[in-house]
Amino acid sequence: MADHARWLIAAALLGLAPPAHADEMPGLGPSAPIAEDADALESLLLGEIPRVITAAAFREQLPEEAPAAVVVITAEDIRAVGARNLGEALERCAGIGLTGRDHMTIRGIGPTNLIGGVGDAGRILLLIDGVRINDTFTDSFTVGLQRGIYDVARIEIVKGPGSALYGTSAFAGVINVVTIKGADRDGAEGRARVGVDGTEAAFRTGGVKGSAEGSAYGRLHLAPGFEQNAAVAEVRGAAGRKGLSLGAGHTLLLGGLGPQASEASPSPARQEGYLSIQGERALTPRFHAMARASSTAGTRQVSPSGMRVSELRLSAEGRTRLRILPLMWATLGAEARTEGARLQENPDLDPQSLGRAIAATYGQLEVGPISYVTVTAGVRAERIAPSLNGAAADAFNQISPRVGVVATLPTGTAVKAFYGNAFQAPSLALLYHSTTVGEITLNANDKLTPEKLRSVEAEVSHRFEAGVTMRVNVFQNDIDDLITTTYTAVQNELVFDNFYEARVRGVEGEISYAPSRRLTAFANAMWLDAYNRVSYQDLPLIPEVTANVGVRAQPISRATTWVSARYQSARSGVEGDPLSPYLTLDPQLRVDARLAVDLAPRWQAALSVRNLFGDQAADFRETELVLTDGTEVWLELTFKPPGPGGGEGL
Amino acid sequence: MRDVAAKLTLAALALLLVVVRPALAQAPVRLTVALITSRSLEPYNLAAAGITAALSDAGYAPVVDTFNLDGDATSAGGIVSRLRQERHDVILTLGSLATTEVARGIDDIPLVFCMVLDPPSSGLTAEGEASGRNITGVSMDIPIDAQLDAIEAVLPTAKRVGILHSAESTAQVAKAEAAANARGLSIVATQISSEREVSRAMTSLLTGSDVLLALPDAAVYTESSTRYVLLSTLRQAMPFVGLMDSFVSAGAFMGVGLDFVDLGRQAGAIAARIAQGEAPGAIPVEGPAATRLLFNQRTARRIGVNIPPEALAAGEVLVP
Repeated sequence: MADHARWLIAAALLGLAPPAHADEMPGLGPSAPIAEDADALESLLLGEIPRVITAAAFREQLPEEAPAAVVVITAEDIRAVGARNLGEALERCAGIGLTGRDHMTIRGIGPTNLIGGVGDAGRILLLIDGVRINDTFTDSFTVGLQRGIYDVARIEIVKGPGSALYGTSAFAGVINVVTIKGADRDGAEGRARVGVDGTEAAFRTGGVKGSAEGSAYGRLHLAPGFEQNAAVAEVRGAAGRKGLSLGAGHTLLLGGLGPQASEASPSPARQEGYLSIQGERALTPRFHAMARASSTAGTRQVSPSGMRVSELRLSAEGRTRLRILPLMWATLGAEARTEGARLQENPDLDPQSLGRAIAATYGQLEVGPISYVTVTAGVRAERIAPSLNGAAADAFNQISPRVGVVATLPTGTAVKAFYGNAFQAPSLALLYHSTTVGEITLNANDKLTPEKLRSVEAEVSHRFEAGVTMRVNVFQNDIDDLITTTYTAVQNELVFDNFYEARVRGVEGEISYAPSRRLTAFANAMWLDAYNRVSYQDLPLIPEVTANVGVRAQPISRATTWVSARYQSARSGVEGDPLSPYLTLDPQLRVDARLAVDLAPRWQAALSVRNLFGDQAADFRETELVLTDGTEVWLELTFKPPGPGGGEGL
Repeated sequence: MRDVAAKLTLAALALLLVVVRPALAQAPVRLTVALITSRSLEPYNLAAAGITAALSDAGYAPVVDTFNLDGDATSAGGIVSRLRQERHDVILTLGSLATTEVARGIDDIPLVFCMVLDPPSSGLTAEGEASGRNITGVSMDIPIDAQLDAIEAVLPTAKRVGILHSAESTAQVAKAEAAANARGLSIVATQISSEREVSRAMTSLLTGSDVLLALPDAAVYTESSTRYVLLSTLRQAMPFVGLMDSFVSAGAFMGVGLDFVDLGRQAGAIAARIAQGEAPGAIPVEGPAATRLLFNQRTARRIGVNIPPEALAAGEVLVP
């Protein structure tokens, strides 16, 4: 008897004892099955089914089967961490480096990055619902990372070369922002936010009526007294009916520093907008077609002298997808774009008209020769014909192939391997626009050729039974003809040239743990080493490391906590480069904490605190890369829509 | 003067009687209710609203204490202890987890469950039967007839109905076969033992069926396998008849769903009957009284299926 009691006590201490009520007056009897399976299915049926990615192959895929290293950030992820803009939503992904308000890198490559190269070529393609958003003058982000994301269903990040599908600009990767449509979420929702960075109000509404759907989004952020982004106004909308959809958006930033501006010459305003119309239909069960026409436009100040640029892009694209055999798909597409920038140095000078016409065709074949394995091969041929004031210049012709194999095994393991090429055509700014930064004059060079990248990577991911998923990726990118500046014979004059070769190689990994809906945790890290090579010597550069950890917990039913930390050790420029305004950032450590409390079924309040530690805050202050230094605090009040939340759907 | 005062007093009393008497006659009866949900999901909120509405309609003033398990069975112990102490007039549970955990510890307070899939799989009484205990309720099982009716109406040429299932849902498959045979349809059933066999099983189902029908089976439909099934059917242009709004919103061609407020109303009406004196053990478990036909027109276009106008008019378009 004493032994039995000791055993019971020991079992209770070890947590092995049954629930206290289990043996008392059981209504079901002790043999009643546990309802966890039924509960899981009920949660699936009554909640939201996770989404897929479309940007990697122009069709819907699970992330683990996409022919690229991809990350999908969902609306739930965005709201759980309290991200205020696109940059804050992206920054927790493995391999993403943020070196400023409008500057980001993917695996060390971006506008200002450790491999060198001039800072006004984005080298990353940004899409909103598939519409190309990069500006036409510098091929970078005008609004970029400051974009609001309250109406975003998911963000698809495709890392690695994307030129086989997207052509120029998809050099280091592609970011596709997918907005919430009317059919995805019915009703109105809103958020008010106040903090040290000003006040903000955002709303979204949408719904379905008959065979039509519509949605609208607006955001206003006021930060009086701040030099950067003293006001941001943003609207977006979409409507669709029977396969035809219309999308539009506009963002206005007042008092911000553009990618080309410096502290001495803040841009008084910059704005950009887009408009698209798209139709898609299955002509037969095996043959699907899509056509889209879109335009983007923007204006901003781009130089200390007050030069303004007005930009316009007109684009037409058609794509078909054919299922040839049960496990064979072919995608064929063609695209024509005309992009222009009108420069006005000052009112006394004639404006300059820069432009380029782009024509491209592409194809991709996906074949499943055996179960669980898909082989992908694609190529895009693109011709870019620049012009200055109507006079044609030498055109670029680029062929971008990409091949890969993806094996998604029934054991939960996915293995991917790819080889691909990408290119970054010199922007109109680099080809034709000379400018002066301080005492240094930058001379354009119309003999520039595209930067070229060869990439090889391999990835393994696995989903364990216990709610653990992991992914490891190794990659190497070799870059030729990297555009940078070289000295001319004239003092204080530099010229753009295809000067560098570079190599970036590294490894990134991530692991997540979700034992229950009340607790999720993740950690990811990337380490890479890079060097560039000039004609007379190799220039070794410091390695880049980014690491993120985060834990989301729901200790009580109405409260959710989120704690995360981010470490980044990156160099955003080349030592000795006098033009790099963002040269060398010391290692940064930042910690975020957030507490969200459900006040009522549809009302939630959240308090967020963010802190940069030690000298890093001072470094940021000096480089003007963040809105505020040190500690940031903000409070949110959110009104959520009725319904189970919906989703973006396929 | 005294007469006037007396008349006024009488008039006031008469007026008071006229005003107050009907109110007294209709005064709702206070009813203490414990409402326990498996987790925080909007459909549970809708069902809860239906429950209180039905009780109010039946003349009760429900005083509702709400508890939430948040998907954590270990938190049920404390809730059950409180229920035993506070002894509400009736307990209502939403979801299988809440129902089974509360039912384990309570056998002397009437318990009405709602939003429970396949009650026998959780040890509860089957639809149409009375438990003889303190438990009754409303299941969330979509009638197989409603699903097959939908297939016949929308896809008249589809004769082979594919079903992916595990041993858990063998009984449902048998029921589906009987119902299909009566309609001249055939069921192509493929049994698997876990979600990891879904991809292999789908290969044969996609070639051997005209339409794929989802049955509620926890061993088959998990988050990842559901995404796989949705994508596979979309790629092969195979119509997929899913379950509930979530499947259709995520890409199933069509589905049969439920009105969660109505489900709550059904449960509330049962609770009212118990409050009026009926024994819960004598009240048969009910199924959903009505269903909704749901469409995803985006998927219909993608797979090249034209939805007949009369079916479209009778259903709801979740994704236009």
